[in-house]
Amino acid sequence: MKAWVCALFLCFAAGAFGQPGAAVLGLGAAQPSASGLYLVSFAPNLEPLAINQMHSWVLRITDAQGVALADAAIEVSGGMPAHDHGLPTAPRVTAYLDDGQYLLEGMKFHMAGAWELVVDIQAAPGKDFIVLPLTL
Amino acid sequence: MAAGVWRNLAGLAALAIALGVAYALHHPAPPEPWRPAELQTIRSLALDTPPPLPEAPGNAVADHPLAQRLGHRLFFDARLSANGLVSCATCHQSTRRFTDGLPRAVGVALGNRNSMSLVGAAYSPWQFWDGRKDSLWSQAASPLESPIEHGASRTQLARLVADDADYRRLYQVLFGAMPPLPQGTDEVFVNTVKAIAAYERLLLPGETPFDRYAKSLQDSGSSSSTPSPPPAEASFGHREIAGLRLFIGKAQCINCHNGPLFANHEFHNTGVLPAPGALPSKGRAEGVHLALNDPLNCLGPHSDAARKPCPELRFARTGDDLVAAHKTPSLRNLAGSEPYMHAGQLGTLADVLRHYNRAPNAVIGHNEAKPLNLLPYELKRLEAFLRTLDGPLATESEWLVAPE
Repeated sequence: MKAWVCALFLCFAAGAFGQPGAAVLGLGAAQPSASGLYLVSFAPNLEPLAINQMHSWVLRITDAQGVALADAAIEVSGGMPAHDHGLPTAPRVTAYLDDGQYLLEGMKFHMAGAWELVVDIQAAPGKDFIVLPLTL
Repeated sequence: MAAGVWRNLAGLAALAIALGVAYALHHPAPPEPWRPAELQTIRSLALDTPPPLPEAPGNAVADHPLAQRLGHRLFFDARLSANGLVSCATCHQSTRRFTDGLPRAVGVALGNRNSMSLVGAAYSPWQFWDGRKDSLWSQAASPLESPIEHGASRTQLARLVADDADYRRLYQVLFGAMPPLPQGTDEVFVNTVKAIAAYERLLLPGETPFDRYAKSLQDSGSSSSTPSPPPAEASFGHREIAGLRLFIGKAQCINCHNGPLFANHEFHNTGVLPAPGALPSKGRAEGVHLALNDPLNCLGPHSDAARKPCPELRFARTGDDLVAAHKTPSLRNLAGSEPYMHAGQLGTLADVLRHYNRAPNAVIGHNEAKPLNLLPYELKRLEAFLRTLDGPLATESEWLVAPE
């Protein structure tokens, strides 16, 4: 009986914190980082994504259980692997908003094609990164 | 039959084949239909009316009609120079797509750079080949005070505006009372170049044969992907279509020459040799630092930008890989703006295309382009396509001549 109640409680708790991988309204589905320490979702404020326009993103960082993280140090890099070049600008996180959401400004893409954005994250769970592929 | 007859027949056959090949190269076969992705790409390159101008938050009079008028007068005024002979129009001639037909500009002395076309310059967040200015108005300040271009000084220019009745009147309507000089020199100088930039924002690319072709593809509906042009567009035939196909495909031009201006306004090292006798240009690697430290930039005290968002400047990339990277120019209205590249190193379009085909090693830095291995007939088709990007400016003709 006790095990049953515990199991039920855990399910309830998991529901309260949010399912890992579930989408939050306005952001895409949360994806796990390379070593699984974080879940990352994002939304550009340019919809649809287009070339040659400065725009910003919101990045949402949670731990593996879906708990929003407020103190993450985030660095962004990337480029087009096929063309062997990086990003045309130096985007960076300029503000923490709320609920694990960070404002990433200075994003721009200057060519159509396959891009990768590499997000390095350091917070309480540790150091990890995620590669976000995008096609313009 | 005799051996001689066979030889004659073989000779005739060879001649027939040669003529056939020559004919085929000059007259490409009816083209393949465009794929949906290609149609989307073509649409992204086309304009019938110029796209909306980006805002110029650093210049409060950027779109003011009186500033355009004042800027127009200033642009053609040779008194804005040390010797009274050099105006902006000296190197940016309206009959030559606002360039001067020279490898390097000639102001009061021989310059270091090829005059860039001003047509559509308002769309670029950065100015100059090395991107050392982040706005049109701050760019205009530079040649005026350059000892080899106009050879003037802000003191001289402020005096000129204050002492000329027409300039003074227009200035005071736009900016309020003329401050006393010399204390107000900076203020008058900055306001003057902001008016010049307001005029330059009027210089916009107009519809070309390519744009009409792209429109005809769209008008005929997405179900019809036959690329054959309508009979009315005589200047866009099968050769030009073949060139367009190369441009967005095998030749990879669209990597940098994209969007309706055919330019991403970014900085690329494409292995262009330095001008003869000149040291290699460091390009954007140096230019970005000049822009970041420019007192006339978006974040500076002379910029009108409230709250100073200035994203291009704040998030500008630096780095050694920008060595010898120069700004992608627009491919619209190329004919009449030769020679090409930052010191006019390549004299004709054919030279430019050969350069990209070879993709030589860069003298400094790293050439981003790879050899294309296109054959001569393909280069000719590319050139034929590039020539369809020429058209009258979408600018009223009164702005294209000196004011009365």
